[in-house]
Amino acid sequence: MTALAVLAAAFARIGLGAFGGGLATIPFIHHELVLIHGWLTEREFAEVVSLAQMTPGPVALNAATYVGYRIGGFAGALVATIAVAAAPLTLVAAAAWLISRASGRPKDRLDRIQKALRPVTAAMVLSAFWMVSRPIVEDRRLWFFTLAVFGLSRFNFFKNYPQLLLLAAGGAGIIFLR
Amino acid sequence: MNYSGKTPESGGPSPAGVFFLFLRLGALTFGGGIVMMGLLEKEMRNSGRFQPEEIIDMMVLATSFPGPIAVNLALLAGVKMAGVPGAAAAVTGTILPPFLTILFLAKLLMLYINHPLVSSFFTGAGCAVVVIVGGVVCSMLKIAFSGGWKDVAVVGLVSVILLALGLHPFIAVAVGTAVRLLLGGVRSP
Repeated sequence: MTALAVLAAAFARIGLGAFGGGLATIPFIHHELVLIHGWLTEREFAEVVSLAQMTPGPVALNAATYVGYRIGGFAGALVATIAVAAAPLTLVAAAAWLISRASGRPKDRLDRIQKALRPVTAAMVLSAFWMVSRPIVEDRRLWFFTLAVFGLSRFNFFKNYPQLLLLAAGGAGIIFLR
Repeated sequence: MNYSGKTPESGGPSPAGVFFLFLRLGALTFGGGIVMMGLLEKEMRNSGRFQPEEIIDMMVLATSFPGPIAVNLALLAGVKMAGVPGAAAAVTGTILPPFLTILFLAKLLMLYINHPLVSSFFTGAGCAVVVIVGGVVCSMLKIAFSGGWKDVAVVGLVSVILLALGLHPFIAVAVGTAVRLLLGGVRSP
Protein backbone atom coordinates (compact mmCIF):
# COMPACT_ATOMS: atom_id res chain seq x y z
CA MET A 1 0.00 0.00 0.00
CA THR A 2 1.18 3.47 -0.73
CA ALA A 3 1.74 5.90 2.12
CA LEU A 4 -1.46 7.79 1.29
CA ALA A 5 -3.54 4.60 1.41
CA VAL A 6 -2.08 3.68 4.82
CA LEU A 7 -2.87 7.20 6.00
CA ALA A 8 -6.45 6.99 4.70
CA ALA A 9 -7.03 3.59 6.33
CA ALA A 10 -5.69 4.76 9.70
CA PHE A 11 -7.90 7.85 9.71
CA ALA A 12 -10.94 5.93 8.47
CA ARG A 13 -10.53 3.70 11.55
CA ILE A 14 -10.22 6.78 13.79
CA GLY A 15 -13.37 8.25 12.23
CA LEU A 16 -15.28 5.02 12.77
CA GLY A 17 -14.14 4.97 16.39
CA ALA A 18 -15.25 8.51 17.17
CA PHE A 19 -18.17 7.59 19.41
CA GLY A 20 -19.58 10.20 21.72
CA GLY A 21 -17.72 13.30 20.74
CA GLY A 22 -14.29 14.84 20.58
CA LEU A 23 -12.41 13.84 23.71
CA ALA A 24 -13.62 10.22 23.55
CA THR A 25 -11.81 9.96 20.19
CA ILE A 26 -8.42 10.62 21.77
CA PRO A 27 -7.67 6.95 22.67
CA PHE A 28 -8.27 6.02 19.02
CA ILE A 29 -6.00 8.78 17.77
CA HIS A 30 -3.33 7.78 20.28
CA HIS A 31 -3.53 4.09 19.43
CA GLU A 32 -3.36 4.58 15.65
CA LEU A 33 -0.87 7.43 15.42
CA VAL A 34 1.47 6.78 18.36
CA LEU A 35 1.29 3.05 19.06
CA ILE A 36 0.59 1.44 15.67
CA HIS A 37 2.18 3.78 13.15
CA GLY A 38 4.62 5.79 15.22
CA TRP A 39 3.78 8.94 13.27
CA LEU A 40 3.79 11.00 16.48
CA THR A 41 5.85 10.81 19.65
CA GLU A 42 4.03 11.14 23.00
CA ARG A 43 5.11 14.79 23.13
CA GLU A 44 3.94 15.54 19.59
CA PHE A 45 0.66 13.80 20.37
CA ALA A 46 0.12 16.12 23.35
CA GLU A 47 0.90 19.09 21.08
CA VAL A 48 -1.66 17.98 18.52
CA VAL A 49 -4.32 17.65 21.23
CA SER A 50 -3.49 21.15 22.51
CA LEU A 51 -3.59 22.56 18.99
CA ALA A 52 -6.96 20.88 18.35
CA GLN A 53 -8.40 22.44 21.50
CA MET A 54 -7.26 25.92 20.46
CA THR A 55 -8.64 25.80 16.92
CA PRO A 56 -12.17 25.29 15.61
CA GLY A 57 -13.36 21.82 14.69
CA PRO A 58 -13.44 18.33 16.21
CA VAL A 59 -10.13 16.92 17.49
CA ALA A 60 -10.22 13.94 15.08
CA LEU A 61 -10.53 16.28 12.11
CA ASN A 62 -7.74 18.56 13.38
CA ALA A 63 -5.44 15.60 13.99
CA ALA A 64 -6.16 14.27 10.49
CA THR A 65 -5.25 17.54 8.80
CA TYR A 66 -2.11 18.02 10.89
CA VAL A 67 -0.69 14.50 10.69
CA GLY A 68 -1.75 14.15 7.05
CA TYR A 69 0.15 17.31 6.21
CA ARG A 70 3.27 16.16 8.02
CA ILE A 71 3.28 12.83 6.24
CA GLY A 72 2.11 13.71 2.77
CA GLY A 73 1.97 17.48 2.37
CA PHE A 74 -1.25 19.03 1.08
CA ALA A 75 -2.38 15.76 -0.56
CA GLY A 76 -1.83 13.93 2.73
CA ALA A 77 -3.83 16.53 4.66
CA LEU A 78 -6.68 16.29 2.15
CA VAL A 79 -6.74 12.47 2.08
CA ALA A 80 -6.61 12.08 5.88
CA THR A 81 -9.30 14.73 6.45
CA ILE A 82 -11.65 13.21 3.89
CA ALA A 83 -11.05 9.69 5.26
CA VAL A 84 -11.79 10.65 8.86
CA ALA A 85 -15.10 12.25 7.83
CA ALA A 86 -16.24 10.03 4.96
CA ALA A 87 -15.95 6.65 6.69
CA PRO A 88 -18.43 7.39 9.48
CA LEU A 89 -20.62 9.52 7.19
CA THR A 90 -21.37 6.50 4.98
CA LEU A 91 -22.62 4.68 8.08
CA VAL A 92 -24.72 7.60 9.25
CA ALA A 93 -26.22 8.12 5.79
CA ALA A 94 -27.10 4.43 5.54
CA ALA A 95 -28.60 4.44 9.02
CA ALA A 96 -30.63 7.60 8.34
CA TRP A 97 -31.96 6.05 5.16
CA LEU A 98 -32.89 2.75 6.87
CA ILE A 99 -34.58 4.54 9.75
CA SER A 100 -36.56 6.78 7.41
CA ARG A 101 -38.01 3.63 5.82
CA ALA A 102 -38.83 1.96 9.13
CA SER A 103 -41.78 2.89 11.28
CA GLY A 104 -41.41 4.53 14.64
CA ARG A 105 -39.03 7.24 15.76
CA PRO A 106 -35.29 6.65 15.75
CA LYS A 107 -35.11 8.02 19.27
CA ASP A 108 -36.91 4.96 20.64
CA ARG A 109 -34.64 2.57 18.78
CA LEU A 110 -31.38 4.28 19.65
CA ASP A 111 -32.15 5.07 23.28
CA ARG A 112 -30.76 1.76 24.58
CA ILE A 113 -27.55 2.03 22.59
CA GLN A 114 -27.05 5.60 23.77
CA LYS A 115 -27.48 4.57 27.38
CA ALA A 116 -25.11 1.61 26.97
CA LEU A 117 -22.52 3.87 25.33
CA ARG A 118 -22.58 6.36 28.19
CA PRO A 119 -20.20 4.53 30.58
CA VAL A 120 -18.06 3.47 27.61
CA THR A 121 -17.63 7.09 26.52
CA ALA A 122 -16.86 8.12 30.10
CA ALA A 123 -14.10 5.49 30.24
CA MET A 124 -12.71 6.69 26.91
CA VAL A 125 -12.46 10.25 28.21
CA LEU A 126 -10.92 8.93 31.43
CA SER A 127 -8.25 7.17 29.35
CA ALA A 128 -7.76 10.35 27.32
CA PHE A 129 -7.19 12.17 30.61
CA TRP A 130 -4.53 9.63 31.58
CA MET A 131 -2.84 9.98 28.18
CA VAL A 132 -2.62 13.78 28.27
CA SER A 133 -1.62 13.97 31.93
CA ARG A 134 1.25 11.47 31.76
CA PRO A 135 3.89 14.03 30.66
CA ILE A 136 2.86 16.28 33.55
CA VAL A 137 3.00 13.53 36.16
CA GLU A 138 6.61 12.93 35.21
CA ASP A 139 7.70 16.56 35.64
CA ARG A 140 7.31 17.92 39.17
CA ARG A 141 7.78 21.52 37.99
CA LEU A 142 4.51 21.19 36.05
CA TRP A 143 2.44 20.09 39.06
CA PHE A 144 2.31 23.59 40.52
CA PHE A 145 1.82 25.15 37.12
CA THR A 146 -1.16 22.87 36.45
CA LEU A 147 -2.59 23.69 39.86
CA ALA A 148 -2.35 27.40 39.04
CA VAL A 149 -4.11 26.81 35.69
CA PHE A 150 -6.80 24.89 37.54
CA GLY A 151 -7.27 27.94 39.75
CA LEU A 152 -7.66 30.14 36.66
CA SER A 153 -10.15 27.69 35.15
CA ARG A 154 -12.55 28.34 38.05
CA PHE A 155 -13.17 31.88 36.79
CA ASN A 156 -16.38 32.17 34.79
CA PHE A 157 -14.54 33.98 32.02
CA PHE A 158 -12.36 30.96 31.32
CA LYS A 159 -15.27 28.57 31.78
CA ASN A 160 -16.99 30.31 28.89
CA TYR A 161 -13.89 30.55 26.69
CA PRO A 162 -11.75 27.47 27.37
CA GLN A 163 -9.58 28.16 24.32
CA LEU A 164 -8.47 31.42 25.96
CA LEU A 165 -7.42 29.40 29.01
CA LEU A 166 -5.17 27.39 26.68
CA LEU A 167 -3.67 30.53 25.19
CA ALA A 168 -3.14 32.05 28.65
CA ALA A 169 -1.50 28.87 29.92
CA GLY A 170 0.68 28.75 26.82
CA GLY A 171 1.71 32.37 27.34
CA ALA A 172 2.49 31.69 30.99
CA GLY A 173 4.46 28.65 29.84
CA ILE A 174 6.69 30.88 27.71
CA ILE A 175 7.43 33.00 30.76
CA PHE A 176 7.74 30.35 33.49
CA LEU A 177 8.58 27.05 31.84
CA ARG A 178 11.68 27.79 29.79
CA MET B 1 -33.30 35.09 12.03
CA ASN B 2 -33.29 32.83 9.04
CA TYR B 3 -30.15 31.04 7.90
CA SER B 4 -30.79 31.64 4.21
CA GLY B 5 -32.28 35.09 4.38
CA LYS B 6 -35.35 33.66 2.66
CA THR B 7 -38.83 33.30 4.07
CA PRO B 8 -39.96 29.77 4.95
CA GLU B 9 -42.57 29.89 2.17
CA SER B 10 -39.92 30.14 -0.53
CA GLY B 11 -39.08 26.45 -0.14
CA GLY B 12 -35.99 26.56 2.02
CA PRO B 13 -32.40 27.55 1.54
CA SER B 14 -30.28 26.91 -1.52
CA PRO B 15 -27.23 24.65 -1.20
CA ALA B 16 -25.13 27.83 -1.21
CA GLY B 17 -27.11 29.18 1.75
CA VAL B 18 -26.58 25.90 3.58
CA PHE B 19 -22.86 26.04 2.80
CA PHE B 20 -22.44 29.49 4.32
CA LEU B 21 -24.51 28.60 7.38
CA PHE B 22 -22.26 25.64 8.15
CA LEU B 23 -19.13 27.57 7.24
CA ARG B 24 -20.09 30.04 9.95
CA LEU B 25 -20.92 27.31 12.47
CA GLY B 26 -17.73 25.42 11.58
CA ALA B 27 -15.56 28.47 12.12
CA LEU B 28 -17.16 29.39 15.43
CA THR B 29 -17.38 26.04 17.14
CA PHE B 30 -14.33 25.58 19.27
CA GLY B 31 -14.67 22.43 21.30
CA GLY B 32 -16.41 20.32 18.72
CA GLY B 33 -19.79 18.87 18.05
CA ILE B 34 -21.65 19.36 21.30
CA VAL B 35 -21.20 23.13 21.10
CA MET B 36 -22.26 23.15 17.46
CA MET B 37 -25.32 21.08 18.33
CA GLY B 38 -26.61 23.88 20.56
CA LEU B 39 -26.01 26.58 17.93
CA LEU B 40 -27.55 24.54 15.11
CA GLU B 41 -30.59 23.68 17.18
CA LYS B 42 -31.23 27.37 17.75
CA GLU B 43 -30.85 28.14 14.02
CA MET B 44 -33.24 25.35 13.06
CA ARG B 45 -35.86 26.27 15.65
CA ASN B 46 -35.77 29.90 14.62
CA SER B 47 -36.15 29.00 10.95
CA GLY B 48 -39.59 27.59 11.81
CA ARG B 49 -39.31 24.90 9.14
CA PHE B 50 -38.62 21.98 11.47
CA GLN B 51 -40.70 20.11 14.00
CA PRO B 52 -39.08 19.92 17.46
CA GLU B 53 -39.17 16.07 17.26
CA GLU B 54 -37.39 16.20 13.91
CA ILE B 55 -34.56 18.20 15.46
CA ILE B 56 -34.25 15.89 18.49
CA ASP B 57 -34.17 12.77 16.28
CA MET B 58 -31.35 14.29 14.26
CA MET B 59 -29.33 15.00 17.40
CA VAL B 60 -29.86 11.42 18.63
CA LEU B 61 -28.78 9.99 15.28
CA ALA B 62 -25.69 12.19 15.11
CA THR B 63 -24.51 11.14 18.56
CA SER B 64 -25.39 7.43 18.39
CA PHE B 65 -23.17 6.69 15.42
CA PRO B 66 -19.42 6.99 15.15
CA GLY B 67 -17.84 10.01 13.54
CA PRO B 68 -17.20 13.57 14.63
CA ILE B 69 -20.59 14.80 15.87
CA ALA B 70 -20.33 18.13 14.04
CA VAL B 71 -19.81 16.37 10.70
CA ASN B 72 -22.62 13.84 11.27
CA LEU B 73 -24.94 16.65 12.23
CA ALA B 74 -24.02 18.64 9.12
CA LEU B 75 -24.92 15.68 6.90
CA LEU B 76 -28.29 15.06 8.55
CA ALA B 77 -29.29 18.72 8.76
CA GLY B 78 -27.99 19.46 5.25
CA VAL B 79 -30.18 16.71 3.75
CA LYS B 80 -33.26 18.09 5.48
CA MET B 81 -32.51 21.63 4.37
CA ALA B 82 -31.65 21.13 0.70
CA GLY B 83 -31.44 17.45 -0.22
CA VAL B 84 -28.24 15.68 -1.24
CA PRO B 85 -26.58 18.87 -2.57
CA GLY B 86 -27.43 20.45 0.77
CA ALA B 87 -25.73 17.60 2.62
CA ALA B 88 -22.59 17.94 0.52
CA ALA B 89 -22.61 21.72 1.04
CA ALA B 90 -23.12 21.38 4.80
CA VAL B 91 -20.33 18.81 5.26
CA THR B 92 -17.90 20.84 3.14
CA GLY B 93 -18.78 24.02 5.01
CA THR B 94 -18.20 22.35 8.38
CA ILE B 95 -14.85 20.82 7.45
CA LEU B 96 -13.35 23.75 5.57
CA PRO B 97 -12.61 26.21 8.45
CA PRO B 98 -10.78 23.70 10.69
CA PHE B 99 -9.01 22.23 7.65
CA LEU B 100 -7.65 25.59 6.50
CA THR B 101 -6.75 26.67 10.05
CA ILE B 102 -4.71 23.55 10.77
CA LEU B 103 -3.14 23.58 7.31
CA PHE B 104 -1.87 27.11 7.93
CA LEU B 105 -0.64 26.30 11.46
CA ALA B 106 0.93 22.99 10.42
CA LYS B 107 3.18 24.80 7.97
CA LEU B 108 4.31 27.21 10.67
CA LEU B 109 4.69 24.55 13.33
CA MET B 110 6.83 22.28 11.23
CA LEU B 111 9.30 25.12 10.91
CA TYR B 112 9.31 26.28 14.53
CA ILE B 113 8.26 23.33 16.68
CA ASN B 114 11.74 22.91 18.13
CA HIS B 115 12.12 26.58 18.97
CA PRO B 116 12.24 26.91 22.80
CA LEU B 117 9.48 29.56 22.82
CA VAL B 118 7.12 27.32 20.88
CA SER B 119 7.83 24.22 22.91
CA SER B 120 7.38 26.00 26.25
CA PHE B 121 4.12 27.45 24.91
CA PHE B 122 2.90 23.92 24.23
CA THR B 123 4.11 22.66 27.60
CA GLY B 124 1.99 25.36 29.26
CA ALA B 125 -1.00 24.77 26.99
CA GLY B 126 -0.71 21.04 27.69
CA CYS B 127 -1.31 21.73 31.38
CA ALA B 128 -4.51 23.58 30.45
CA VAL B 129 -5.61 20.63 28.31
CA VAL B 130 -5.24 18.39 31.37
CA VAL B 131 -7.36 20.78 33.42
CA ILE B 132 -10.06 20.96 30.72
CA VAL B 133 -10.15 17.21 30.06
CA GLY B 134 -10.17 16.60 33.82
CA GLY B 135 -13.28 18.75 34.13
CA VAL B 136 -15.03 16.82 31.36
CA VAL B 137 -14.02 13.51 32.99
CA CYS B 138 -15.55 14.57 36.29
CA SER B 139 -18.90 15.56 34.80
CA MET B 140 -19.04 12.46 32.55
CA LEU B 141 -18.26 10.10 35.42
CA LYS B 142 -20.92 11.81 37.52
CA ILE B 143 -23.52 11.21 34.79
CA ALA B 144 -22.35 7.65 34.12
CA PHE B 145 -22.26 6.70 37.79
CA SER B 146 -25.79 7.95 38.34
CA GLY B 147 -26.73 4.76 36.45
CA GLY B 148 -25.56 2.60 39.37
CA TRP B 149 -23.01 -0.20 39.83
CA LYS B 150 -23.48 -1.58 36.30
CA ASP B 151 -22.18 1.64 34.78
CA VAL B 152 -19.34 1.80 37.29
CA ALA B 153 -18.35 -1.77 36.37
CA VAL B 154 -18.34 -0.95 32.64
CA VAL B 155 -16.22 2.18 33.17
CA GLY B 156 -13.73 0.00 35.07
CA LEU B 157 -13.76 -2.75 32.45
CA VAL B 158 -13.23 -0.40 29.49
CA SER B 159 -10.46 1.48 31.30
CA VAL B 160 -8.63 -1.79 32.05
CA ILE B 161 -8.92 -2.94 28.42
CA LEU B 162 -7.54 0.39 27.19
CA LEU B 163 -4.90 1.28 29.73
CA ALA B 164 -3.76 -1.96 31.36
CA LEU B 165 -4.10 -4.34 28.42
CA GLY B 166 -3.39 -1.74 25.72
CA LEU B 167 -5.83 -3.32 23.26
CA HIS B 168 -7.28 -1.44 20.29
CA PRO B 169 -10.02 0.98 21.42
CA PHE B 170 -12.46 -0.73 19.01
CA ILE B 171 -12.28 -3.82 21.22
CA ALA B 172 -12.84 -1.70 24.31
CA VAL B 173 -15.93 -0.01 22.79
CA ALA B 174 -17.40 -3.29 21.51
CA VAL B 175 -16.84 -5.23 24.73
CA GLY B 176 -17.99 -2.34 26.94
CA THR B 177 -21.20 -1.70 24.98
CA ALA B 178 -22.03 -5.42 24.77
CA VAL B 179 -21.43 -5.99 28.49
CA ARG B 180 -23.54 -2.94 29.39
CA LEU B 181 -26.42 -4.19 27.20
CA LEU B 182 -26.14 -7.72 28.69
CA LEU B 183 -26.22 -6.40 32.26
CA GLY B 184 -29.64 -4.99 31.39
CA GLY B 185 -31.55 -2.07 32.80
CA VAL B 186 -30.92 0.30 29.89
CA ARG B 187 -34.55 0.44 28.71
CA SER B 188 -36.07 3.86 28.36
CA PRO B 189 -37.58 5.08 31.62
